[in-house]
Amino acid sequence: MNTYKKEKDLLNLWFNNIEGIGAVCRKKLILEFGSIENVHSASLGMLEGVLGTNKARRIVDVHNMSFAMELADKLIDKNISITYPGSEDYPVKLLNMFDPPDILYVKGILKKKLNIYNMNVGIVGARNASVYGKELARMFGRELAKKGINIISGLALGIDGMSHMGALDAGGYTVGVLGCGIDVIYPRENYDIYYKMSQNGAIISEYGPGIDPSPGLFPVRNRIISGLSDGILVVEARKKSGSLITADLALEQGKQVYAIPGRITEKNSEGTNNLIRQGAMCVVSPDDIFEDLNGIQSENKTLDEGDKTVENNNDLKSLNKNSLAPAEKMLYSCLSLEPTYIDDIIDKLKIGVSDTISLLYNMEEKGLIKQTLKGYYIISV
Amino acid sequence: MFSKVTGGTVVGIDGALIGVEADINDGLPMLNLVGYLSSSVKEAGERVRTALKNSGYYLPPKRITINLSPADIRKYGSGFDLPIAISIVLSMGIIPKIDPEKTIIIGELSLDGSVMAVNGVLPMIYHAYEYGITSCIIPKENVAEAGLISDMKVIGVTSLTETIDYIRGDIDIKPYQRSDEDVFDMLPEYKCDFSDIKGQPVLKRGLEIAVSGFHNVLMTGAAGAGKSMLAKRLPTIMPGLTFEESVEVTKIYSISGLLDKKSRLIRERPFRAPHHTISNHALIGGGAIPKPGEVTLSHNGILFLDELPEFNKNVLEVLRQPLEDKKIIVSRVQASFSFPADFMLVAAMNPCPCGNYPNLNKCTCTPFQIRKYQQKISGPLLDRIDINMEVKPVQFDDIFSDKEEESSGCIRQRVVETRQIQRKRYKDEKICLNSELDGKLLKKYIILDNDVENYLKNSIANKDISARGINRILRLSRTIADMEKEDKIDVKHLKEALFYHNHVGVTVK
Repeated sequence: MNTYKKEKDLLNLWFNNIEGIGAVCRKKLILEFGSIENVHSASLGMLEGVLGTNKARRIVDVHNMSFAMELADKLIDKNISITYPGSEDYPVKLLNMFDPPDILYVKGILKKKLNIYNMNVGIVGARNASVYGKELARMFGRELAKKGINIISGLALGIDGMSHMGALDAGGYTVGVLGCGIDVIYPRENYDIYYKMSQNGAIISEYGPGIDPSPGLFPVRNRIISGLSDGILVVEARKKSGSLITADLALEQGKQVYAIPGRITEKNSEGTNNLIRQGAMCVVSPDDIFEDLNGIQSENKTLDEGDKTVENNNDLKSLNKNSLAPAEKMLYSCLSLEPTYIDDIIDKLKIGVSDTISLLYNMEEKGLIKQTLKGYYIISV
Repeated sequence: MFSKVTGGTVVGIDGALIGVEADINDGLPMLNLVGYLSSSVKEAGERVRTALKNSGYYLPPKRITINLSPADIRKYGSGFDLPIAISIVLSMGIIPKIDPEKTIIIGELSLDGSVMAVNGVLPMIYHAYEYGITSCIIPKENVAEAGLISDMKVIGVTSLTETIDYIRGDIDIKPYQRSDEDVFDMLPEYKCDFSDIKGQPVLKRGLEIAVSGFHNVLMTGAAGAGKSMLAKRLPTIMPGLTFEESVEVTKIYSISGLLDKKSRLIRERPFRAPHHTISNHALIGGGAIPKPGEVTLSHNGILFLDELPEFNKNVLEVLRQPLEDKKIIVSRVQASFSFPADFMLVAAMNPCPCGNYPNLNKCTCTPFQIRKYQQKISGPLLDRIDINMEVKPVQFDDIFSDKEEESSGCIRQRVVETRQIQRKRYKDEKICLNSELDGKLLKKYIILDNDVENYLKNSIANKDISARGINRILRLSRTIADMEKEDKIDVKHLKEALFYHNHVGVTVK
């Protein structure tokens, strides 16, 4: 599949990379000629009738496909494959979109389960996310992946990266959609995630090698995230956030939108709380999503029960919690997903600095709490 | 007739004795100065001629040659005016001979013949004392400084006439008697106190550890969190300078001309807080004639760098050598100078350009900006910091709480005790504090039990900690154990050291 020997692969590479011919022109051409082969064999006169002299000439000028062959060589070098409507591994869900991508560059493997048997959930949210958001993104990514749900996201900083990481933690399948060239790792900080996903998941992009990220490309990328997903989970978003664009697109495409509520005073939760007010499904546990997607009607659940389900998922942890020393229990009760500064912990526990540090280290080793920033602690979920 | 007296100059931070020879010979009338002189000394000829004339002594119309020896030391400064004038007067036969092995003369002349203060008197006199010279004639303004050296007969003079009259025996000047107050002054009084700071127990503990073992500190926190306030109070919890330390510090300040008029022994720990626009020469010392920079001026004390990322990057990088070697070597064409620079680095910075991270409701910075801002501090420099602390803005309740906070005196008492433990342990070595442990000494004095060693191994396994970083953690845990008065380093001490050492920066991912 990765050889580009097939005439069709080359033709697709050629057709989708002609300079000056955009998606609109391509649509017109296909409409007129029926297939890429026909476009390729069409004469200048025929093309002129559809696109005008300038553009028609551009197509005829590259008729020999030499640039497409060079591109194919480059892709083989970088171990990048392509897929397009009609090929075996093209995600079927994308075909339901108004404007499915004509070509997708793929790093890793697009597995069959992206299309059938399994559900896909897109997790999106702020790049500059709070600790609360990031931890929840990772937890949702992990728990949903455990249930066999594929995690789709955008490989950005913050929520995106954390949800991919969560899925990878659980050994699940996760797909990242880039808003830049397939071989451009942006942001660079996510290099290790990019690498892991190219091994165990897939990274896809509409853009060929070497295309730098630019602001215009990201909203276009968002439509693929929502297109691939059966539901979109917005973890944390500000009032005006790209994640809300994804949520809007998802609604247009008839997908379910989920949102995690946050405190009304937090700027980072304004967007998600707004979504809930507008009718998005309020999600307090990964089970909510799982049940909704599988059409399971659950009884009226309260927040408490939601919490319990989270706990039950981690048998090991609840076991640990029961065997805690009194001081440790007290410390655990001081903490939440909101980072708490060590001074405040000391204030509540009323023990010395060094004892508190020692206690915190013990708990961290047991995997019950986490240090997010120097001296700031949260419980781990 | 030939004559010789002794003067002095400063090389680096030490004094050097200079022989000042004069000879009056027949020939065309002229005044000639030789002996590898800098221009400030060459100009002395004109000053001396005029000052002598205005004091009532006319130079004979003969050929006068002045030589400053040894010829291989470059002579700087204005302290040669007085010895040159005296040597000429001596050659003229106006005054009796003075023994150059017993008396040193230092002073700058003004055109009217009055004697003015010079910099660096203490190192010069100290050196002369070691050499065996027992009396000195120096500007009156500098007597307190020179008087620190007991057994030295210090004669303070105000004018050339007075000096000549004194040498001739026409008048008597009482040698300066230092008062005990000059030397055995009680601890300096500070205007501020640690009890001014409400709450912040972790930070206070961290600073106490830092001071006890002389470890470097970096405080990261939002604007107005109290970083500078804490740093300014650090000298108040440091033990007073020992006599040797005081002399060292006073020498440095003497050379730099930073001693005030009443200049006596400096008893306060230096606290230097240079502005972030400082150049690297000003920081480490420099100039054609290298002068001590801020790192040397904070010797035995604290160098406080507020707004660390705002400092020029290359300025920060020059700190690497002094932080490791506790001294700085400044090389110039004429010579290399070694200045002591054993200071405790206390740095403060904001976590991001707007200063509000991790408060996401207030912080307007992008993750990239935050990362970039934090990256302004290079890895090698961070590696040399023992204690990293996050400072959380003070809560309103804390500011107005009536809770009694520990005073500086209390904390200092504990610090002094911890330092005594260290001194006792290292009494056979050349060092006296944990932060100085290195190489063989580190192996000799820090022995970990198996379980402690395993714990250390496990906890740094996945972290990017350099060998230097590990050594710093070990020294830090030694200090913490000393504070608890424990002989052995326990896992608990190690945990605390790890907590304070680890730099958990922004995790944006």
